Amino acid sequence: MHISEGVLSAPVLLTGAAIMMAGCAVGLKKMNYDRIPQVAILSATFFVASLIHVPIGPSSVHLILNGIIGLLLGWAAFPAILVALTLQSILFQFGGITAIGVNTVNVAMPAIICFYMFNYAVRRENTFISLGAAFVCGFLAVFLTSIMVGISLVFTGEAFVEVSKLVVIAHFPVMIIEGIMTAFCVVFLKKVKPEILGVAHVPVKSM
Amino acid sequence: MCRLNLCKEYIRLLKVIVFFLLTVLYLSITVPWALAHNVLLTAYVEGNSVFVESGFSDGTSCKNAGIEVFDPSGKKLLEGKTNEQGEFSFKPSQKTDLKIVLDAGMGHRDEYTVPANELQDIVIGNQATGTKDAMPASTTESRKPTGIAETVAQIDPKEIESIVDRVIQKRLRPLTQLIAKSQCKTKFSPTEIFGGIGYILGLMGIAMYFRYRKGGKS
Repeated sequence: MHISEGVLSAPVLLTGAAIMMAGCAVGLKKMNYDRIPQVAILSATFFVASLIHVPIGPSSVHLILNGIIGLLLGWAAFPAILVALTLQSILFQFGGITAIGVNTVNVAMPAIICFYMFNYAVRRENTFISLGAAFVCGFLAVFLTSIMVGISLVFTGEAFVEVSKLVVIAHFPVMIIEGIMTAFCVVFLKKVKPEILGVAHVPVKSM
Repeated sequence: MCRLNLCKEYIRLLKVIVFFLLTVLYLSITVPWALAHNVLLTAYVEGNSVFVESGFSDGTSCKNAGIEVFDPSGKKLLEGKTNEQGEFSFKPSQKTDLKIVLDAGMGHRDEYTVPANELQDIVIGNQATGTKDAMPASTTESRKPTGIAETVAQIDPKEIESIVDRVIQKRLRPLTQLIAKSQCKTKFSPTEIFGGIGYILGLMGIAMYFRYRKGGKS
């Protein structure tokens, strides 16, 4: 999911940076101070998750975890992912510094879409419904990220359908793994700390 | 009473966090630091050719990836694909800086510039073979059937130089490869990983600081 330096054209980079800034502004505005530790911990999770990779075929892909991050943070996912991606590109040379905007949008946008789609389903009392919703959430978040990577690469001349297909196929195992992980996380949090799932929704409801 | 409950809550949360961190630590130790999603490219000059080696940061080679070579003005000189081992070689046609770009698809890309001074000798050697048609290898080969005495008699400093050059390059090849490989960073140390986590926690600390300062004022 890390697009390297020099791959994307300037308009794509600028658009990505603009969306990223807008998203971060919304995220910081919606994030109240009590949730700062939660945002920081999930940011650290994202930072580390990218180092755990799954070898598939010629390439290898890593965990993204944007489904669970979106589910727990909502709009605050934007600043959390921005911080983690910036550190990754500085410390590990993952993705380019100029491409941070695009990379952040590619990961954070699906997280927020999934947040709005599965927010209520995951919170339901029924364990099966929330389990299923959490799985689809984790799955879909990675799928949408792959599509977004495809869209960003279209403007560099690579054929959209071809690239998207390649990225989606490469990330298919990750989608399954993340779906299962998200489901486990939700069940675990529901049992151990249901407030986390509840707390995450309060700011949005109040808006 | 309320405070006690809050305390308990925090301890429970702390337990969850510690459990999570331990899991990550366990994973990071057992997964043998096979880290991916970063393509690497390195190139070195040997003989008359430039050898390019590519791979992902976890050590797997970058098969059938596109390679393009540019001159300093941005003109594309040649293009090709890496082989099964992620290697590629070409003979440079000019002695300027050569920018080699690797495109592994899906937004993975890296570039490496071979400086002109590394090419200096090679291009000269190349020109020599092209213009004078006096390639050192062919002269020595043609002389093999004739006697040793004759070879000794006809020896000239330039030939010795080229032979020594070739032998040294052959001997140095493993070393060159080693240096080229060590130049590209393939592993990330735990220092960097924990450093990154530290940065994030530090940012959290700064945010919390401002929160309490604000709280103190109001």
